[in-house]
Amino acid sequence: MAERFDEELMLGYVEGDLTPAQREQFERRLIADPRLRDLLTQMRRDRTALRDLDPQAAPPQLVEHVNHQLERQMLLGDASAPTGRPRSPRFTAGRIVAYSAVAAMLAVCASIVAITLQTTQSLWTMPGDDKYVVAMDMESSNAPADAMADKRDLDMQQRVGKVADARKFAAVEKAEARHETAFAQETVEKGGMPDVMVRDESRFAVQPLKVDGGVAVVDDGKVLPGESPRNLPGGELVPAEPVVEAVETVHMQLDVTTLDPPLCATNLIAYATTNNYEVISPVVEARPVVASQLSKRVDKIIKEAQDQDPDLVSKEIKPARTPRQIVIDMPADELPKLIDELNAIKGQRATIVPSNNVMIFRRSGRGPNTDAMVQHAAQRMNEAPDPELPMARQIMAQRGRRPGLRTDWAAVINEQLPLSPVMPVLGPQTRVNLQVVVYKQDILGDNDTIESDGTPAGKTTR
Amino acid sequence: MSRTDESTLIDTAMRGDRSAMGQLLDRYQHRLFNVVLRMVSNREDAADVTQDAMLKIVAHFDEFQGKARLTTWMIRIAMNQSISHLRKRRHRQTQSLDDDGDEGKRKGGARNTADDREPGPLERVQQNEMIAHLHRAMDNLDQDFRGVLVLRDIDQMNYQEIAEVLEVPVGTVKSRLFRARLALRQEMMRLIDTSAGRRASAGGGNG
Repeated sequence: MAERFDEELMLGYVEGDLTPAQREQFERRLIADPRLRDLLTQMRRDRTALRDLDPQAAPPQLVEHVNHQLERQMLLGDASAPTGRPRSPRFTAGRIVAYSAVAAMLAVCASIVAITLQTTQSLWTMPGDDKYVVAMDMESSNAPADAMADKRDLDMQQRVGKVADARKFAAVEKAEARHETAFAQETVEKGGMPDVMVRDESRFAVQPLKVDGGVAVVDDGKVLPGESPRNLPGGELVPAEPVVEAVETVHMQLDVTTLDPPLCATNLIAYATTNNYEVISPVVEARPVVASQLSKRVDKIIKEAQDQDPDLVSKEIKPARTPRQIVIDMPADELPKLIDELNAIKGQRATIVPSNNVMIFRRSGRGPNTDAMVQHAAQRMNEAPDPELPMARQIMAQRGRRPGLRTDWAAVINEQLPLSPVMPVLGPQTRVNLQVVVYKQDILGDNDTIESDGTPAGKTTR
Repeated sequence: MSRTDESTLIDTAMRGDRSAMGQLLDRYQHRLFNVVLRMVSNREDAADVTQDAMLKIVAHFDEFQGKARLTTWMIRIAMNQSISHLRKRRHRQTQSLDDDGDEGKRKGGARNTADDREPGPLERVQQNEMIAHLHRAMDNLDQDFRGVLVLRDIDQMNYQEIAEVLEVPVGTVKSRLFRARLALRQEMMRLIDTSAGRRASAGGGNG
């Protein structure tokens, strides 16, 4: 089969490199070999599928971490620090000055933190025998950062004379840690259940933390599943119980007449999300009903599900306190700016995932900065709504074609979901099935996964 | 970024300007990350490997002689770092390529947001299954094959650029690319057959 043909010719066919004449000639030859033709067709499809994979955004602080690592390497005289061919005197001098300044700042930060650590440790220890660690700063007594504060580093900082700046910077970091700790402590006192908070942006961050027995318990702000509670350096405890709790799975079936079933489903998802339900698997089928009653239907169906399942009623479905996921649709050229702005706010329990023309904003819990991020996003979207949306709707109305799934998500954030994008009547008959999971407590971590039946991975359904 | 801008930044970075170096890394971080991600198939590992690659890029930046494009040079380092990581991972055997835990992470690479050509439900299921198979098939490929596919399809390099990254002749690139596509297709067929067999046996068991 394949051996009869030239490998480069076949590659050219798959890659689309052949001239029209070459391609026509090759395809004539392929007629005689349907197996090879099918194989090459499949290879072309694989190629397209690979090329269609969504590009992924790099982690937000990747470059920042690299810079921190470089500073640390320079400070510790790491053997892997920049080496190479001899550099020009100008290059070398520039680096010495730059790195010395940074090294001095780091050294002072480390020493100040090491000294102040002992005075603030009581803030991190919860009263009584609470199972939950409230906040955990990375400046633990055995962190490598402390090692930086040796005499050599102190001498270096004095030489460069950046003591004042470093002291100021360390004080800011410390104040932030105190603020977060106090907030988490207050949450626990009110009966809440905060996630473990880790200052992963801290220049002193060490991930994962090592505890007795060498087990990593905390990684990037999330408690790793399956780990036992252990005393961490500084006296904190990690949760003894799983932080994930499945509650109920509600199957919602809505009959909607729409020209645009996917758009309709998207609106339903938005509605559910706004009302603190997690939509797991939206499925759209064909069948009719009325769009204008959508919101009422959602509530009614949830109630019907409770009526049909006494167990469900007795367990009392209690929505999460905060929406976990918000899809933000803004003009493409505005999105990067907004993402930068949101990252600058640095919510401890929020992640931003840019994808295509929208960004998905996930939050795993409340926090002052996380709330600020949501408010900021809502404000910006009101200021700069997607300009294509009205035009797209107009085209849809005129041509009976769907414009895509762009929706006015600003309103979603403001909890005023407009149902108008779902075109009334006149469309194909549609049925929308949504599987919705309701969480009792908004304590899911971003890395927690959900099984197809709505059960958090590794947990049993009640 | 225009070639002139890039050239200016490179010159400035060569003189030890950390800001210029930071700008270069910042501009190419997503591209580097995507290449690494498709090589190591795990977001967390990809972040670590990309970070290590960036550290190497900075450490050896004065060795960049401008014979190739900067991106080609950077991606070569990222690719080598990925391959090194894969070798270590295989050696440690700490993570099975069939680990279900990775599946969820891989899903991050699939289309997870509605776009303007939203498929129907059946198409969507098939598309998701296809993408899952694709990720797994890529994982199961020899690293040389995976590398050439990543450079050609994910980073969309031309043959010459791939040749510069892999430091092999263009003819070798073409030959390797064809064999990689063939191997990928065979692996896809194997996975599809396995999946179909599993479904059939599950259906038989229920009935």
